[in-house]
Amino acid sequence: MTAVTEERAMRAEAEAPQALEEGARSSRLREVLTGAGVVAAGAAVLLVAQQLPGASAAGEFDSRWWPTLIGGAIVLLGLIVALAGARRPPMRDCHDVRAAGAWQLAAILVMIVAYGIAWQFAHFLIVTPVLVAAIMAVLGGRGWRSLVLVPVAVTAALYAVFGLLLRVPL
Amino acid sequence: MSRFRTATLGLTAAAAAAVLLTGCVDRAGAQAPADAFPSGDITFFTPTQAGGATDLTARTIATELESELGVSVIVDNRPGGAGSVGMEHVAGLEPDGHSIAVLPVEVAMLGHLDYDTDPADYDFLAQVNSQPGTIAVPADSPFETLADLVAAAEAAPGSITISNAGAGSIWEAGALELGDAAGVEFQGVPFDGGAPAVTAAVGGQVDAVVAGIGETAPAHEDGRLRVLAVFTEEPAPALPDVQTATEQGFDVVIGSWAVIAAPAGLDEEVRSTLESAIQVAAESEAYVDFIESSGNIPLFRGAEETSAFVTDEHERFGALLADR
Amino acid sequence: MNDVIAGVGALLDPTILLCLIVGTLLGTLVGAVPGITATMAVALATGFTLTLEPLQGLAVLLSIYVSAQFGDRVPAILVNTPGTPASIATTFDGYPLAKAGRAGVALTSSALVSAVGSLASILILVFLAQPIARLALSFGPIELFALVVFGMTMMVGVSNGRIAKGLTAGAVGLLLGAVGRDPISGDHRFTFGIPELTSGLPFIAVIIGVFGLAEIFNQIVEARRGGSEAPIEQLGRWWPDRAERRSLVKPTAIGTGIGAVVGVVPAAGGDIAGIIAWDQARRASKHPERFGKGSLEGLAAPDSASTATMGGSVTTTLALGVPGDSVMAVMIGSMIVWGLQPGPALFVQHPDLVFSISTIMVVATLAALGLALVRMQGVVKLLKLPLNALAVVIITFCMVGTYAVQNSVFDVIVMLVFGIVGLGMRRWGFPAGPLVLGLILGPLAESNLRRGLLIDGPLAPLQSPIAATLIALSVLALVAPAALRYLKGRSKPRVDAEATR
Repeated sequence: MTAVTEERAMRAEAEAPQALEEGARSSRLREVLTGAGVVAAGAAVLLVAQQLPGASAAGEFDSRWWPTLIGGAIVLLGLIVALAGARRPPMRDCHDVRAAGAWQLAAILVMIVAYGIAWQFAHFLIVTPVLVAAIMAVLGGRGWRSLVLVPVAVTAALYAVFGLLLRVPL
Repeated sequence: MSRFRTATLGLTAAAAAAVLLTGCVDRAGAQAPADAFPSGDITFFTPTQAGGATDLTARTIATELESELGVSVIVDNRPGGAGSVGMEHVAGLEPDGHSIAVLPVEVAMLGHLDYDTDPADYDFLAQVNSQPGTIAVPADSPFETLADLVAAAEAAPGSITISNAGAGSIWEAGALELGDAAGVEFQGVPFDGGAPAVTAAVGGQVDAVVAGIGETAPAHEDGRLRVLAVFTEEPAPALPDVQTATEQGFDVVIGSWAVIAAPAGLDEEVRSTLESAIQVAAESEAYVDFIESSGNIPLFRGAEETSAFVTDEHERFGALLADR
Repeated sequence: MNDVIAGVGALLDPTILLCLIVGTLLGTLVGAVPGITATMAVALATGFTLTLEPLQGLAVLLSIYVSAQFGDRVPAILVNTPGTPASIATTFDGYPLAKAGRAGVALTSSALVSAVGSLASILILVFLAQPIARLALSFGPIELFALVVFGMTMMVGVSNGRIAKGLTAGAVGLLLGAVGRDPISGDHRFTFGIPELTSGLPFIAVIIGVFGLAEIFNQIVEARRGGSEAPIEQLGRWWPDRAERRSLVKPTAIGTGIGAVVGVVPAAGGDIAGIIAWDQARRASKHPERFGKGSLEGLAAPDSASTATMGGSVTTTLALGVPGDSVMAVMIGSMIVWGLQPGPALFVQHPDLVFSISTIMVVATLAALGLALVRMQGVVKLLKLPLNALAVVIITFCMVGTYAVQNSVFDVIVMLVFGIVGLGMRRWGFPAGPLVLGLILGPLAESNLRRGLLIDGPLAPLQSPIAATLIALSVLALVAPAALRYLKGRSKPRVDAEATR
């Protein structure tokens, strides 16, 4: 955790935030594939919409027409995305994914699922500090503050606001 | 580092403050002896959002039950899926008497509308109120009686629009039943809840609205709507001057209601303990005042009668909703 | 005049002041916690306030209503998570401002314009309640449909240079809005046998997922790399300087006006008002290209608009007995139990009540503003937490807050799924704003259009002057910018050349 703080301090000095390299464009292939994906999704919507219960008493405007309209629009927009991307790929507005970061996120999601299951068997006040400590650890937290103080403080705050004040059954 | 500590301390302080703030509101939970029922807190489920009529019914009764049973009765809202989410949740719980629920009329309807809700999943303990249905027209409407409205629908089938609280709601069924009884066809217009449906009638966008008496009676009294008929056997106390539909020659008796139930398989003794506690709660002044102030009819019907009543309603809605 | 004295005098009771303070604290807190909305807080408080005297109860409920609109701006600006749906449009410029190191000015400006919007709209309640309420009744289904269509035109504005992708996200949002029971026939659509889905996707869970969680997920996957964004470290100045204050005037006026009108319309609330105001202020601005990238104007318009809906909503509620928004729908229930049946008769039977209510709202606005200005220094300490602690706080509060809305684990799953969807959308360049707009506006558009068609037949939208005007304005809003550009020719090089393609 100390490392994180230091690194952030160094980084803040080294760079102005938000500066994106000029001319960082997305690739043509990526944009065309994105558009194709959208077209496929729209087509799937159209297909599912036709299975919906049809006109009963409502006349032309039954439960199908709105999803059908939207599905059609999605197909059309997907084509535009693909064509525009092929002509001139748009500027990118986010940074590269760091492999370790992706693993960290995956680990957090798995832990949240495990937490949801554990919560069915153990009390909120027991499982929550464990989850918090685990997420802190995955994100590089070390030492008693990160692994004990933060979990206890966060759990206490959650329980006070939701369990006691708002009387949510936790 | 110190910034981090300040922030964490701040968080802890906020938590402590919230706990203190809560202390003032928190109820002191009394504990009962462990051998007899109830041996712990009772959870009182309601399949609706907090704040609605069903929820407030549950909360008023819960307060009375607490003093009667000597344990905490905690209201737990499980809304969603027109109430089916909460109802199915309760159906799957242990029938030990510590989980009870207030169930609105939908418990007898949803099974006929592609939901997995079945009244057979519950042991009914009591019926605690009923909300008569009404039909009302805008104040400046040309229709003075129910017969006028029916005649207009006869002259041009489907031209008379009647708003209701939503697709599959009890009030949509009410308009259907009126159409069946009069042998005419109305154009139903489902809205997203009772209030917007009544608003559409006040604003003159539709020809009439079928809604609960609690929603139409105040508007009738200050002249925004004219209630043409009440769908009850006897004239309703909230609108004593308005004739029933039956009196006007259309045999329509339909309304919303609330029952209290537990998952099926309740022990006989637990059931009678709960039943008599609910009777005291349903006859308490706080509850009667609350139900009457919203224009509805407080009542208490015991476990056996309620079970028979719900079964009857379930069968009747089956026939009515089949020809939707 | 006697009514004024009676109405205000009735409040000179220390217990009422206490109720106001409790309500303001509670409202600010629940507003700031993602998931819990003002509607839900008022609903939960109802169980307790019913035992109080009417004025005490109204003091608690109205101050929750008012102050939640101040609290919800804080997470919207600082962590891109709207505290309640009313601050969806706050994230469009509030978060970029915070990322640019101007969180202090953004928070202060937001609180100030929110107070202006609220106070201005209370004046409407006091002076124009009756005439304005009549306008509300002329908003039937088809007029509401037209208003929603007008709101949807801003999908183009918020797409900011990625119009095709923005509209795609909007269409997907509309589709997500169609999940659940068909509003007219009651048929199941896209529910895949899941009972929770029959009442539609829980949209608060979706909003928290695509805005808040997606942002923190993105920071996790990008973190500690040379080019990654610094989490907010500087808050900058607190008070807007003279030039900034001047720039706030026009968007605040636009926002307040739009909010007042939308507030009067039954069932339309702060979220829709904020969305419409943001787009209209952008059109009227000298610097539309800065909108969505950290423009103070783009913050002032929606924030003043969503608070300005409150006076209008209360007006509609009191004068017509018709709920002006979802909070008022809950509050009507309490008022009836207190024997204060809202409706035209209220103004005859309890003329002083209007003044009591507006005084409570003015005091609550000032209290919430005061609280907002003092408390900020404390709240923003949260941001000084390192990324891992901040991520933990956001993830756990979003999870429990979403669960608390309906006591439903399903909602939490939806939120996590949409956190990942939101992350994917960012990585592939699809803006999240239009998705959420589609989800909120789609069901309103479809159900009201179909109701209108049931009532008046296929020509319904053209038969109503209000609806026809609003639809014409929507077409104009879409066509006019392109037409203007065409007339000006392509001689002037534009900063946002991407946007025009």
